[in-house]
Amino acid sequence: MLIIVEIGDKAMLEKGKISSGQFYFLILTLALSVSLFSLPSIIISRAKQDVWIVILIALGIDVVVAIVLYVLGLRYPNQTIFEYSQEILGRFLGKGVGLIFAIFFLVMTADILDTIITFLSTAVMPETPKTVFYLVMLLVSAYAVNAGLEPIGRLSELVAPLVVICLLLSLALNINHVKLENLKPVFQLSLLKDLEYSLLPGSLYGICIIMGVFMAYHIKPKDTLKAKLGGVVTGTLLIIFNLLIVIMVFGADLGSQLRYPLYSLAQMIEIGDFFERLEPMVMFFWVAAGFITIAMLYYVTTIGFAQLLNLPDYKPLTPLIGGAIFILSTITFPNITIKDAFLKGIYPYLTLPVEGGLTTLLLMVSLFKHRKKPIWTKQRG
Amino acid sequence: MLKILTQLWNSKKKINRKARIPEAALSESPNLDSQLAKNLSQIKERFKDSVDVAYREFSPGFDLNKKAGLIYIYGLVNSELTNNTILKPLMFELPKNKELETMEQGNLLEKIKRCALPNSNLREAATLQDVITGILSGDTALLLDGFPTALLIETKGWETMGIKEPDTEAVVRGPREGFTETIGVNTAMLRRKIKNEKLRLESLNSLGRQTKTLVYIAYIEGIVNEKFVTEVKKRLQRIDIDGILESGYIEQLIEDAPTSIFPTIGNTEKPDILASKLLEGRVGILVDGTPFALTVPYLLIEAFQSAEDYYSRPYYSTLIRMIRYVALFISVLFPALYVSLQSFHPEMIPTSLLISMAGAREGVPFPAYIEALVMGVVFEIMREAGVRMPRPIGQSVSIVGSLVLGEAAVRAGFISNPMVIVVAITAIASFVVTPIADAMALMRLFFVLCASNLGLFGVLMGILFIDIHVMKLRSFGIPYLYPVAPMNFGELNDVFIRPPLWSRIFRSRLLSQNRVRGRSLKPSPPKNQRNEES
Repeated sequence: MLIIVEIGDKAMLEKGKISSGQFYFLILTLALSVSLFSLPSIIISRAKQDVWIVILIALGIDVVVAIVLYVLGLRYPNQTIFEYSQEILGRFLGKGVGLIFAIFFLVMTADILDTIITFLSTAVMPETPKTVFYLVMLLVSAYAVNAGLEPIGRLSELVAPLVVICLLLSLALNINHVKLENLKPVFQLSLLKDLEYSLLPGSLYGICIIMGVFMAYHIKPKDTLKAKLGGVVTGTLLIIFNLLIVIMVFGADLGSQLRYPLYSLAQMIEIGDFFERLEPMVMFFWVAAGFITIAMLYYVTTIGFAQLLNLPDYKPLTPLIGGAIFILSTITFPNITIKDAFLKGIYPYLTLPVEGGLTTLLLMVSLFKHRKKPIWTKQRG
Repeated sequence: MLKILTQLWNSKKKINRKARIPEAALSESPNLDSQLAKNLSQIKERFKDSVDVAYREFSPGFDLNKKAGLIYIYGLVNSELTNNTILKPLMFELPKNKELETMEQGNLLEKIKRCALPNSNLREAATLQDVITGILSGDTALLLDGFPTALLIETKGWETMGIKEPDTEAVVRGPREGFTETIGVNTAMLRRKIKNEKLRLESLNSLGRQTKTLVYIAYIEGIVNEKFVTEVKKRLQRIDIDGILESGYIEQLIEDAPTSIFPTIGNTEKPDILASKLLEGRVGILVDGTPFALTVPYLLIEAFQSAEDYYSRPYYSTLIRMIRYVALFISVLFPALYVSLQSFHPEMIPTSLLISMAGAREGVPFPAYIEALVMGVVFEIMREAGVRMPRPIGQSVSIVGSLVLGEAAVRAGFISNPMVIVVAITAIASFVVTPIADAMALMRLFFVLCASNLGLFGVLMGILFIDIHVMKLRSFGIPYLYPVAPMNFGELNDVFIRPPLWSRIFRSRLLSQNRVRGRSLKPSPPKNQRNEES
């Protein structure tokens, strides 16, 4: 799906469009890379054999948010979440809400960047200073951001299948290590605990409110929900199966002590005597997926600030936002313990009100204020 | 500082504008006079003392009252043609022509044009500039006393290289002829491949202020996307340069991404390849004086498709096409992967291999990335020397290269054996995908630098950087990586494999509006063909 871009449409900051396939893969990449690195160890140590219930509940949370954003996106076609929040809440309040979203994306970029770089520097290359990783990653993603949404979408179309193949391989090639009895006992947690523990994965998948921006650039906005849910469901299913395999291979006790259980799973692979220690390949694709996620979030942050400031072009903002991300990600989390505590204790309660609360609020006000507007309008132009 | 720079910039602009003026004045050239002597002297004035311009004054038809003059350039015209088709009929056969006598003096030029010049290509020229342009492109100008028009008679006939097999796109199976340096021969070769009146060969204003080089664009109407044609014309008209000596000049002046290491305009030396590109809906640009024709738009996958893939049967071609992708991978990434595994991730190498590699590296004074960079540069030096040096010296260079640099350097312990192997494999692989070979050489060095600093992570970041860059590129509006990114499943069939010809029903959607190539069915023998006797 592609359009030969006609230059001259100055109203939109991004001139490119993404296809349904690219939308699907972007969301899939996002869903995978938020749950590959720091999530598994926390969630296994908390929920043990019940991880799949927890993640399914989280998926439920995300589906609700997705539907809210889908309806909003259809009611305000060709507008990003930053633009239609101004239309819904008025200029002043709308800018405030838009600013919250923009800051949310900024913090999320820094958070995920930190997660990926921590993974790199603890599991793969412990001797290289983290700052170098931050700088290189940010420089390349700044290049991607300035290249626009289209290249990021196309890149995800190439990389996401590779990550999926990687995860499927670590599923398939570990079959010989599986011990089924490790899966018992099931349903050991109360429903309340399940709900509580699902807040963290739910809030991580909730970063998919990025669709509120991407939907404006989608060729067929009506297919957004399908693509978005497809991406998230594929991602969560892959993660669930992988986590279950982790538990089956390592057992719940050992599994909960591993820092990067999925990475350790990849380390277990051996075919014959020759193909072993494939984890740098796994690292390769994971970090590639992480890079796309960072580029996406960075891009959305930049677009958001540019739209709030009514700039004609977002590119001058890229270095500024990059600097902010660099500072945030380097100073916020001095070590892993603090980061884990943050993820467990603060993160869900900080982000879910934005992801679920603010978006629902927007929908309610929109339904009330623009009552006469049909649930969705036909796309203009 | 900034002020000075802006001033410099502005002054540069002014110079540009000033320089345009005389050019405009020159194009308004005076009309021809009716006196022969005046015309001749004016033309002589223009050419000054150039020794290769010939002036021949004579009297047609044994009539000393009539005066005529021929002007042409030695070497550009075939003198036999000039003698037989101009001088001979005018001087000897004109008097015998009875009809001519009855006509009036005023119609002489028309009469000569109609009855006395046995030459198929004849034009009239009214201005001095037209006459001079004609002479310069190999025509002979015939001026008659008393007429303010000249006749330009085509007598082109200069020495050329002749058609030969090109060195660049060699094939085992397939047509061997290559384009020549003469544009007229090239268009004829193209026309012979595509016998269709819809094949358009359009001439544009000759390009180059001084060289006035002929540039044609070729396309097949009904197949081509008209947008490309108008865009090509627009871009060609923007060119303002003193000389076009090779199609590379045009390529660099009209390409989409002048700051990228990737070519966004293709070139070919063979008529069959140009014909196949035109059949896909592309536009060709032919330039006089060079056998290399340009094709636009150019997509990256074209670098991996060779004409021979389609001439031979699909199975082996598919294998070869896969091998080209592998070769690209090896040529670009192998040294970088070696360096990053060697210096950053030795745990990835199987133990026995690691031990033998460590043994080979023992005593080598440099780290792996220095070795890789040095060997990379040395290889480029040898390649360049191999291209430029005179043929007879070739052997000595290869002996020096292989023996001294390979054998002796390893024996002396300057370079490790595995590195030589890596560089050798890389070098051979880099010749497989020739259209983007120079981009590959640059990327190779870039990736070694990435790997030397950050190991596999650096290589990954390098790959992502180049990926984003390539995905950003467009060639005449078409994404450079199409149909891989943006993905188009329907058209992926000609990317990684070579589909059988009967399954290539459609042209690429972006290149052509008229999508159906043909509808040949899968070949199968008739059902009851079996020989009764067997």
